[in-house]
Amino acid sequence: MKIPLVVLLSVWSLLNVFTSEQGELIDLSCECDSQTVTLRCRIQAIDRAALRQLLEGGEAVVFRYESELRGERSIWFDEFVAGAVLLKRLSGDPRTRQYFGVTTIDGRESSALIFSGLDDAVEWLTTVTEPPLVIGSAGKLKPGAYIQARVVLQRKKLLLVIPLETVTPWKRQSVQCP
Amino acid sequence: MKQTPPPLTKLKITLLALGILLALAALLFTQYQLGGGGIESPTFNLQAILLAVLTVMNVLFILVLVLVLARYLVKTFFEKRERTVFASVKTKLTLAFLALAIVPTGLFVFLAYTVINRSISQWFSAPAEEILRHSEELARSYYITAIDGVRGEMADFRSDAASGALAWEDVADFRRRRRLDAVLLLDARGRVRRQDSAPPDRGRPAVTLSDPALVVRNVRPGEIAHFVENHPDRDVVVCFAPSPWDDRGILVFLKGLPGSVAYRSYLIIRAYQEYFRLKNQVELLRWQYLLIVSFAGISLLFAFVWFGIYISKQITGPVQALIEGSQRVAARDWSRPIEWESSDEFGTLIQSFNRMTEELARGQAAIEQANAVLTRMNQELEARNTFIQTVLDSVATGVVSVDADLRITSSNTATRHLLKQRRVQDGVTHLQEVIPPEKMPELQRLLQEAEFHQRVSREITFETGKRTMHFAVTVSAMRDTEGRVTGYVVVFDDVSDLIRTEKAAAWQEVAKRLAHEIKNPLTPIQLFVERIRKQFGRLQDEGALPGSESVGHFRQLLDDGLATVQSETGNLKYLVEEFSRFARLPNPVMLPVNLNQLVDEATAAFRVAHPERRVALVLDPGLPPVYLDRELIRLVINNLLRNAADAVAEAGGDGRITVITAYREESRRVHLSVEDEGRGLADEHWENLFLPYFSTKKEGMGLGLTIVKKILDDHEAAVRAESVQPQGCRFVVEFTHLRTPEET
Repeated sequence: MKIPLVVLLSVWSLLNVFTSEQGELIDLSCECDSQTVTLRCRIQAIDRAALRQLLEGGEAVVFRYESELRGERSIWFDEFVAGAVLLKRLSGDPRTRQYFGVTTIDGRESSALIFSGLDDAVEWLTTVTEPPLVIGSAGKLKPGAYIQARVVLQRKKLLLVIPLETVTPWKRQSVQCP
Repeated sequence: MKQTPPPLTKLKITLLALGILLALAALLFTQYQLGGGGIESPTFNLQAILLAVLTVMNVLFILVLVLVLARYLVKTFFEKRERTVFASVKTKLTLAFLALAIVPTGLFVFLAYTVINRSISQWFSAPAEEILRHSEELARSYYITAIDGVRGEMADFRSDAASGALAWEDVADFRRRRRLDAVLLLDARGRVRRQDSAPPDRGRPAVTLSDPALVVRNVRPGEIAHFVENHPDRDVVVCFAPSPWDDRGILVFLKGLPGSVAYRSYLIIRAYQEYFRLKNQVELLRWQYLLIVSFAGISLLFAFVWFGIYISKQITGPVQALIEGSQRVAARDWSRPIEWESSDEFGTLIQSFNRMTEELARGQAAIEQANAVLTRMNQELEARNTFIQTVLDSVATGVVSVDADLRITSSNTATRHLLKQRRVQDGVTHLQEVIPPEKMPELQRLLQEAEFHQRVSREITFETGKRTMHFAVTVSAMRDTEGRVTGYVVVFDDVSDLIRTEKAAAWQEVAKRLAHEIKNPLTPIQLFVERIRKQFGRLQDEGALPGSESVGHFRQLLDDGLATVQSETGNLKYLVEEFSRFARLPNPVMLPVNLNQLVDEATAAFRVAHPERRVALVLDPGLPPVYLDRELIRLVINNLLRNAADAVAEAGGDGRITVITAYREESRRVHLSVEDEGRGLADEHWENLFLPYFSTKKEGMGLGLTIVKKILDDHEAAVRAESVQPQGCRFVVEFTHLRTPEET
């Protein structure tokens, strides 16, 4: 009994090493028109030096922006109304020191943007502004609705089963539609 | 407690498998890191994983090591507290292995880490960095030169085209002169509107644009942009800008770079990137190698500790089992052998010990069985001995066993009683001490005869105390297995009463015959004397006889003679009548009688006949009825009283006669004693007291006590005479036939 417990604790702690939280979503803003609820945001306090190191090292960096529209409930889990996922993939070419950014929304990949400098590339990677992320329809919203979002730094899947991720905590903001 | 060798339990198998896996993992990682890897191989992610895995494995290993050690030490501590043998030896052995392991392991970790650390420092030395930096610049400059060249061609072309000096028809010539591989004109959607490409060269396909969308997406008005495409056989510089001829088209120049040069340049750049990446992570790298070395060290330590525990158990386990087994054997517990299976010398030793224990158990069982048989036989012998001793003590015959030196080895109660020897001690007293000295030679002759005959008997008469005892002495020789005489058994049978009885019987027969022989002629003699007297008187009366003096004298002589004859004949008649009476005593008719009453009656009659005698009665009121013939016992009492009265008269005539009755409960006998205060008996008279015609008195036939003895013999009652202090004699009669309470 002791040995399996020790092994279990070790595996859990091993997994815990690969999953940590850093960075924070800021400037989270929600816009609501007659039809849709959209999201704008940017990440602050992310370790840009580490990000640069990864890119200069030739690795691709994928930020997965996860957003949810929920209705608040008092005695049960909040109601899930709608959700959207935005992937931003940034990779570099060490020969030309150029960076390529690709956006994927709902599985549809857009063509790449070429950045000549890293600052521009990182700015693009950490910002969701134009166009904003469409989360869902505004017609279903009830009082007490809110959006929440987080960003997952998804580098690659290691050992086939263990995703190596760096996650920001969920950021929440109420939605007030006209 | 079952003693088994350390069994490979499930837990231990799991531990063992885990240890082997960890060791293998450590080995593989160490090999990978130190041998097959290299600084450019591991990526950041792989390093992070490796670091994490190593950390966890180290922690896990340390945890397991501490757990195993702590468990073992705690267990040993309790074993020491319970004074389990070899507990301290086990602890010392394990700690010794641990101590021995710590030093080389610590040294190994220290040296390995120092070497690796130094190697890492050398990897990131300044000259190496300089070389790499210059190489990277060289490689990059190759690309930049190529890109700048194509961009310059694009700028020239756009400038000339903008001034109208160049039209699309001049593109082919421009491409050839400027050594471009292809010039494309794309529309706004990325479709090729016009194209001029160099023909395939030596089997290599013509250069094409792989991702037109990328061009479309990134074209900026007035700007020349570029990127490098990776083709299977070469790298292609893609340079593009808005078409100089219209705003909606995109002009694209493609220039292929030689594959080998491009690839080597790429490798140089990658190596440079990896170098700096590793340099940035050098502390991480150091930590990683430290963990690897630590892991190997802890594995080594764990192996040593486990080996120490294993060895200590292998050494102390069988010895402990042997000690516990020997303690059980010492406590006579043969039932449980030592259960320890091992193929080494300890196993052989334990097997030998178990065989020895089995032999001991069998021997012990045989001894116990023999002991039980001996005990049973001893008990039987003891019982038989007790039985024999009881029998010997209960018989009236004296039995004495003596050794070859004539020392008494055993004797029964009757011996001491018969020989009047109260202080006979078996194993101490010599036969000479209990046999009168004058009879010892006779007895020794008897013993010598017994050596040649199985058994010899002879009658020997002893003077014991005041009495003469007649013994039928029988001697048997005891021999050992080789026939040597080891001792004798001497049996003393008191035949005094038998001889007396035989004498009395003989006298009785004599009296009977004498009475018969005397009585027959006595009556004719009396008649004939009477007839002579009458005839001589009648002749004298008739005057037939002369009246001379001589006749008168004859007459006087005749009268005297006849009177004497008559008197003596009368005496003879009395004697004959007495003898007849003695000879014709009737058989007793036994009835339960109150002896006290009978004594009272007899004494009353005696007092009437002898008023001058003082007779006292001491009668026991608790006397049980006695089976006896009332008239015969009255005669006995009367004879004893007369005897006592004669004794008192001889002594002076004023003595008292005491008649006593008593009940002896312990022997269930009734005693009747007649005691006088006469002169008592001389020593020489005791032997013949009850024989016929023996009397110490001047008058009397000497038949009174003989009749008493005869009557009492017929009653199976005993009679004896004792001296009374200061003077006198006592006759004691012991009646044995009593009426029991049940009969009452």
